Amino acid sequence: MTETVTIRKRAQPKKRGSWSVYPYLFIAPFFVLFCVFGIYPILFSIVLSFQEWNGAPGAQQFVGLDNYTQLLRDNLFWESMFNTVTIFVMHFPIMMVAGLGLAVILNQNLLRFQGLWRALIFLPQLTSMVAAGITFRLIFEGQSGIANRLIGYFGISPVPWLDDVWWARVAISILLVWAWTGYQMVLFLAALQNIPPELNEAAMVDGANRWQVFWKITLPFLRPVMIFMLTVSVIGTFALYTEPTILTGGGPIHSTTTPTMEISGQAFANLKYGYAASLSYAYFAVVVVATVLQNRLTAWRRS
Amino acid sequence: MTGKISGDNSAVSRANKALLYVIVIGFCAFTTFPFVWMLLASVKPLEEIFGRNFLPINPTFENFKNLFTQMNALRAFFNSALIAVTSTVLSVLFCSLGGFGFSKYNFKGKTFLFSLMIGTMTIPFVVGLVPTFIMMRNWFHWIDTPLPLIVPGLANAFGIYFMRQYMDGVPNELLEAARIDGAGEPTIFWRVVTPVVVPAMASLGIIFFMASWNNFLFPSIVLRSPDNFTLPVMIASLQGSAGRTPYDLMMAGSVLSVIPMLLVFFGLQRYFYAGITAGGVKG
Amino acid sequence: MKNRTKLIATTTLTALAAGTLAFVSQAQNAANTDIKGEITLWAWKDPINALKVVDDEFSKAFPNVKIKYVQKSAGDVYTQLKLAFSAGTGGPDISLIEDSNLAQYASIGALADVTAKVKPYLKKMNAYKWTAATFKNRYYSMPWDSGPVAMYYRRDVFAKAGVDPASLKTWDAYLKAAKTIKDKTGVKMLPLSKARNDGRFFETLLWQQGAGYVNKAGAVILDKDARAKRALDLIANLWTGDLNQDLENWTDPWYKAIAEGEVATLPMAVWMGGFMKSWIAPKTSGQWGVLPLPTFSGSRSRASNDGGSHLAILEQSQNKEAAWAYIQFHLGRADSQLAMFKASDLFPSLESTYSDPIFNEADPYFGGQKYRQIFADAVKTVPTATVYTEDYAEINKLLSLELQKLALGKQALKDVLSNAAKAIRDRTRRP
Repeated sequence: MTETVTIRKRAQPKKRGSWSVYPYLFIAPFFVLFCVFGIYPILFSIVLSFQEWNGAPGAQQFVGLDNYTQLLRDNLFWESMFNTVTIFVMHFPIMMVAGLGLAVILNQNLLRFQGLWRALIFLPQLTSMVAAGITFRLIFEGQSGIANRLIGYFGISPVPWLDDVWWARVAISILLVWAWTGYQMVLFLAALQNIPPELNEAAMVDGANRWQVFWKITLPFLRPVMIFMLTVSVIGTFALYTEPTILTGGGPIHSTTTPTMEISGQAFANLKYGYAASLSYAYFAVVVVATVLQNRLTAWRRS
Repeated sequence: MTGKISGDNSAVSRANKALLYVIVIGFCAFTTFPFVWMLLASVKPLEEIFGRNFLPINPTFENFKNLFTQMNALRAFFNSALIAVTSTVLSVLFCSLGGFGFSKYNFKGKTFLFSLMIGTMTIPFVVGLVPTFIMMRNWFHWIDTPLPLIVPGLANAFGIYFMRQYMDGVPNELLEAARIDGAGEPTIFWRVVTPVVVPAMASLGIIFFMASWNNFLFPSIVLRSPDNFTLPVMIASLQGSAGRTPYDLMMAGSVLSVIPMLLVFFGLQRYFYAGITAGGVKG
Repeated sequence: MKNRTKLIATTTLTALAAGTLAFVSQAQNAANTDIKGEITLWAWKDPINALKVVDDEFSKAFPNVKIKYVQKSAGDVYTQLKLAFSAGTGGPDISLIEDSNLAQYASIGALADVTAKVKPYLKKMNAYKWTAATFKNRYYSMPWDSGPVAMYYRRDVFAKAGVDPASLKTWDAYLKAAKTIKDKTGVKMLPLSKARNDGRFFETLLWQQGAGYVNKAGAVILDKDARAKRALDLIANLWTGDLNQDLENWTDPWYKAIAEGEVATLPMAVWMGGFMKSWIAPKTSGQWGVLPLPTFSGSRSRASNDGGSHLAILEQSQNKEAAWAYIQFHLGRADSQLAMFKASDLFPSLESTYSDPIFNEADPYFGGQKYRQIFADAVKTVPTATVYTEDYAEINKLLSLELQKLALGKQALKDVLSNAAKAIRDRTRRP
């Protein structure tokens, strides 16, 4: 009797029972470390956001909401948020489509030397950011850069890649597509590997052609991965630091400065640690709201 | 191989295939170009790096030689490797455990905890830099050791999110079947789920390895003695005067840096094709 | 008889004198074994190599002081100094700090007060170097090298255009010459970035007139001072006349333009000469010359400053005595400064070095000109100016943004200084 009951219980692991301890065990190593190394800096910086501090030990001064009221008027900060949104919109769709397209093409043994193409597309991830930054600066440089020479062959007049507010953003977007498509492709490849072949075969047997299989079966399967990529890319784009610093220095006229660069500058260059902390939480609030909205949207669409 | 759309390749016309080649090779040329430039620059003397000539006029291995004689490049290489391998293996493990917990179980506070951790991913690293340094310096006395570069990274919100998403794709039937067969939870983790998500773990491993290998900001702060430097820190310390960057040495250093990553990448690529080995959906 | 006595007397006196001198100099060179300790010094690569040149002598003089060099890039030094300061420990005993960053560290209390120690040197160093080292009337560092600015120019370009370099006595003459040179040779006058301008040339012009961003009371003067307007007008005229090469400093196209004679002049500091000779344009030897800067009418000085650095002791150091011994030996002695100058081209702030023969050398790179002498003369005439304040980083950034807006046509000339002043006042809370 007891045996049957036990077995039935085991078939439903999500119910209560002696398994309630397991999830906690699994997440424990992670969580303990997180509390130690993650929580203290966060608490410290939350308190700091209500203070004014130039770094001298013990010299923090409480200023209430002053930092927060100031940041509402801080045009440079909000511009950095705007910069990031535009850069994100410019590069993400292209990168996503390219990454997915390349992953699908290279997952099928259609082409020869598949492994080689995959490795070459992933290469930007192995190229040092310094080398990439210098190369792209050379590519985008005024008259003599390769980019302008190339479009010159098509009769287009030179573009001020690094000297114009919008073109600089385009230049950064191109750098991002170059750097991260390979990464996206690898993530998609891993996800595609997980799709059981039986599903595809069953659909083919039912008479579906390749496109229908792709849209109706493959794509929905990739949904969790795509949502993951979206969230991570949003966060990653806001966190951009090295690439804009090397390629454009944040300019011209601040147009490619990201919130992370702005916050870092306020903290270390201007020695306004309290203000920098408040900027971080304003930016955190915006990203959290955006992420929650996006999750609600996808959940709603799913139902 | 799984995920393929069609088993009938001859249905793809020649023209289509040619088009695919053009797309793929075109994109490869785009991605490869800066890498080639970096390789060429590493064997050019400093003046030539700024020149218009693409190929080196006087190729030289001086840059590499100088790297090893001027700084302890070999030692830095070894330090980077040790830290990267340790943190990658441990981080993938911790994140897989955590991702499994969040994906396959419902428990009190699950959504809250998860959102909290994802939320912290958005907070820029610089914000926590000062308190983190104070912790490492005054509480743990871990300055000038590799520990700050390994231990905190084990709790990586990105990694846990990543593994959770991929584990979400593992059908629950697999777990239930194993439970019916009498397997305990840890066994389910090791024997049932892990083999299925090996491609994801391999991808995550590559990502973590590269992040650790290229990591510069935090190592440059916590490592003091030149003997303990990692490769990026060593390369950065070569800057001569403020504003003057020794591109020749840095390019050589960058090439040196790439080699282990290439090895890791090619090595782990095999695991991409592990596919669904244990089990599969029982019909 | 008298002669013999005289001879004996002279010999004895000479012997006594020689003996005394030997005794005195030996006392001076006697090793100081009282001062001990191990000191750590943070700097970047070239200065460390320069300092090491003096180390042998130093260890003879202070055998019980051990020095440990930690090499980092400049950016890393600055960030990590701040972190160590906030943590209360973890910093070096001595750090190299450039003028532009020095005031910030002094103002937060990170540096040790060395007022009593540097007193003997106040008149021996370039006077204007002490401004950045001072905070509330106390001194916090010892000057090492200076960045006097002069005008490097291409002899061949000027000759081809038929312009006499010596005629460039005023900035108006400079503008006219720029047009002539461009018309006759097609070469632009100087590299001056537009959309990526970093404000340094504007500051050079301000400094030349003895002005800074703020006055002695700390109030912002950009929108009120005619000197700022003159500096801005010159830049605006160069841009509208298309007389500049639109290149950002320290980028590859900039190096190329210098190496290939695509710019006729370079208004830059003395350290630029060393860079040009060694790695930027070694092949153009003999084609360059050096001139004092043109002036704005009404201002005397034909020199300005860009850069320069100091060695400072950290307040948290436990070895301040040993650290000061090191600094005094390396920076306060003419022998040390000259040795480092010869090894690294770091131009000494210590004025007694200027009588050394090396300043009299004709340099073939500059067409046989005694170019170091020009800078030695220039450095003595650099006015004192409050450009490098403790909030310099923020102010420079805000001004550069306004200049960039002007360059891209997003702002009228008349609004540049008032907008810059407004932004600076708002963010730094200065009057």
